[in-house]
Amino acid sequence: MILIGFIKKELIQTLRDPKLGVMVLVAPVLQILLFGFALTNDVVNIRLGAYIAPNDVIALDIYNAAIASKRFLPVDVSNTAPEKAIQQGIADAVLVAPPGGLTRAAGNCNGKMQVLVDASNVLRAVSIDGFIQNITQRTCHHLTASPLKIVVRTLYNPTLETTTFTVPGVMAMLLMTLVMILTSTSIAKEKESGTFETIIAAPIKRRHIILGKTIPFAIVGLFNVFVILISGRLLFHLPFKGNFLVFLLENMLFVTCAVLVGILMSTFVTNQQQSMLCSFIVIFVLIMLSGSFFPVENMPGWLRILAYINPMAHHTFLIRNILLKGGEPLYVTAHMFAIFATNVLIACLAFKRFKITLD
Amino acid sequence: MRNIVEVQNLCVKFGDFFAVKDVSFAVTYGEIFGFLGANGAGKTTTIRVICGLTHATSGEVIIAGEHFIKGKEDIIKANVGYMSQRFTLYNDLTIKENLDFAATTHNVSRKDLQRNKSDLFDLIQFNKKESSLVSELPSGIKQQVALVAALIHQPKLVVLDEPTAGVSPVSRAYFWELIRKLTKMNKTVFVTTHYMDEAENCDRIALMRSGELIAIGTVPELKNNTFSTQMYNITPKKPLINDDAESISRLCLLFEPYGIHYHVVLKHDADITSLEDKCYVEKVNPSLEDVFIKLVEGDR
Ligand SMILES: Nc1ncnc2c1ncn2[C@@H]1O[C@H](COP(=O)(O)OP(=O)(O)O)[C@@H](O)[C@H]1O
Ligand SMILES: [Mg+2]
Repeated sequence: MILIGFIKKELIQTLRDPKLGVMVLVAPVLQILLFGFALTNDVVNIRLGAYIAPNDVIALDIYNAAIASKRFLPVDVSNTAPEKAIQQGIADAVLVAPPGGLTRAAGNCNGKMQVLVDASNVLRAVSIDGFIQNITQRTCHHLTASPLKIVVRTLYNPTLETTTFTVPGVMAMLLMTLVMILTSTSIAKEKESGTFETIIAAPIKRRHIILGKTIPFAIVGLFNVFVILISGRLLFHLPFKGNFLVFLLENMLFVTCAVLVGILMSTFVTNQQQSMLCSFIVIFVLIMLSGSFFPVENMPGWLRILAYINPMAHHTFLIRNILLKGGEPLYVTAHMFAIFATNVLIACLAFKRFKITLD
Repeated sequence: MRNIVEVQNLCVKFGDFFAVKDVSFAVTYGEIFGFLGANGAGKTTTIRVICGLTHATSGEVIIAGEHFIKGKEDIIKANVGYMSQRFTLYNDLTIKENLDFAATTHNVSRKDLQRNKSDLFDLIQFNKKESSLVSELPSGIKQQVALVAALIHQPKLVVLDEPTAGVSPVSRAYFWELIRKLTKMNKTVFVTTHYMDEAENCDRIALMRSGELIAIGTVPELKNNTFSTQMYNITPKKPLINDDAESISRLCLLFEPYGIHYHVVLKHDADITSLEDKCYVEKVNPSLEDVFIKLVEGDR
């Protein structure tokens, strides 16, 4: 009864706040949109080198078509080894015809050409790969009898996990930020304006206040999950290979985590300003250590340990796995358990620190 | 059991600083008890202990016969209606939503809520729309709604911390009418203020200074105890120059500017004649402000 009244009040307040619309609807769409643009951002001025014998007609056709597309700039790489050319930054991509030439190989139904691509900039590498595949297809469509095979070897970032990598990262970041800030500022606001004093003057239990703050913001957070997911799918063609219920359960766990972090944080602050400042610091650390944008695998050992106790890292792993790979049961269970364990820990801490006096 | 509030040797320390120091008093059922003192005197701190919002460093607080100890807080809180220094309503909620929430926190049933609300609205002759947002209300109305919120669970004791701070004089006067009506509903009212004139409305008064209780009693008691001899209101015929003021003040126990007048209490009533040369003199009853000044100065 007390709880229902509490939740009702929080929801009314939250929904009545015009800033919320911006945070729940506009911000995610905007972020995802920006990401979409960043990824489809036209890649031009690609310096293309070639190791092609002068009589290798098919390979030369491909090379010339690429230059003619205006995306590529010819560079002379004849004096260096193909990989050196990229390492030294002379070329962004290099076509390497097979020994004896592509023309002859194609005649033997064995047309295999290598393209070396500098993937230190992932977004660029993806585009280059696509362009060359495309151009090859168009240039050689008459060679139906002997389909060509283009082997793209990307250097320095072999897996090219752009979509897998960044979009779930944005999703996790948006969710964590929104829910944590909403929760902690809502409590900080009560302390700042003095309404907290009135609440605790009533015979109300700590769990009522904590749950009364947790449940409404978890609901808002879950709603936000769908906004993010839908905008990701519509704007970005984000795949959804996993089970929806698993996805929902996972997000419920993580949203709960974000709310609990917000509540714990609110026990350290007395006004909204402090709460915002604190949120920024916490969010920053959580994101950095989440593997959302910087792979956990690349971190030094001690930092990696921190990353593995970061629930946001597990959430990012899970979202990637569920959306893009369909969610392997064992993997999903293990990481969900990790989030659950952190939730229990944070809940205990928050409960211990949350005072219903003014001392 | 005559006392609804008993405070015994209450101390509250913040670090090494005593915000409340060895304060003892009792409030009897049905009275309006005024808690007076300048800003920082320790009024709010005392109130917070009474309402269970702050722990006492030492001392004892008994509300309606219950000692404030662990496990008993909720029983005590149910008997107390608290309106804090800033009328703490949610500005982004309507009057109705605010009252619903207040009822929720006190576990008031829907039926009781409707009944109490209409009783209280009758009491304050409230005629605003319940669907108005609190942020759109003038502060006088906010104050009344906050009072209703503090009373929604029918507490025996109503604790009001500076309820009239920051509202217009008209609203202040009206609010004191409401407070008097509350005692007719068998409520005990514990109210703090730093407006001395308002305190005349109280049945009994406690004066606080720097965390210590310096006087307690009914208004006439305080006046009589503080001033055993007649007080005069004197109005200089010509503006007093320093020497005049000096010579008059030498005759006085109390010599306080009071607007363009002075309130004086003479050491020897016979000296009145020497005053009449320079001033118009009339007998007055001391105000609470005089009492407060005398008590505070008396220690200096
Ligand atoms: N939480 C606190 N920490 C430290 N000092 C405090 C705290 N609350 C109040 N005080 C100090 O205690 C004294 C009494 O304050 P308060 O009870 O609010 O006075 P009043 O309500 O009479 O104006 C003041 O000097 C104030 O600065
Ligand atoms: Mg105060």
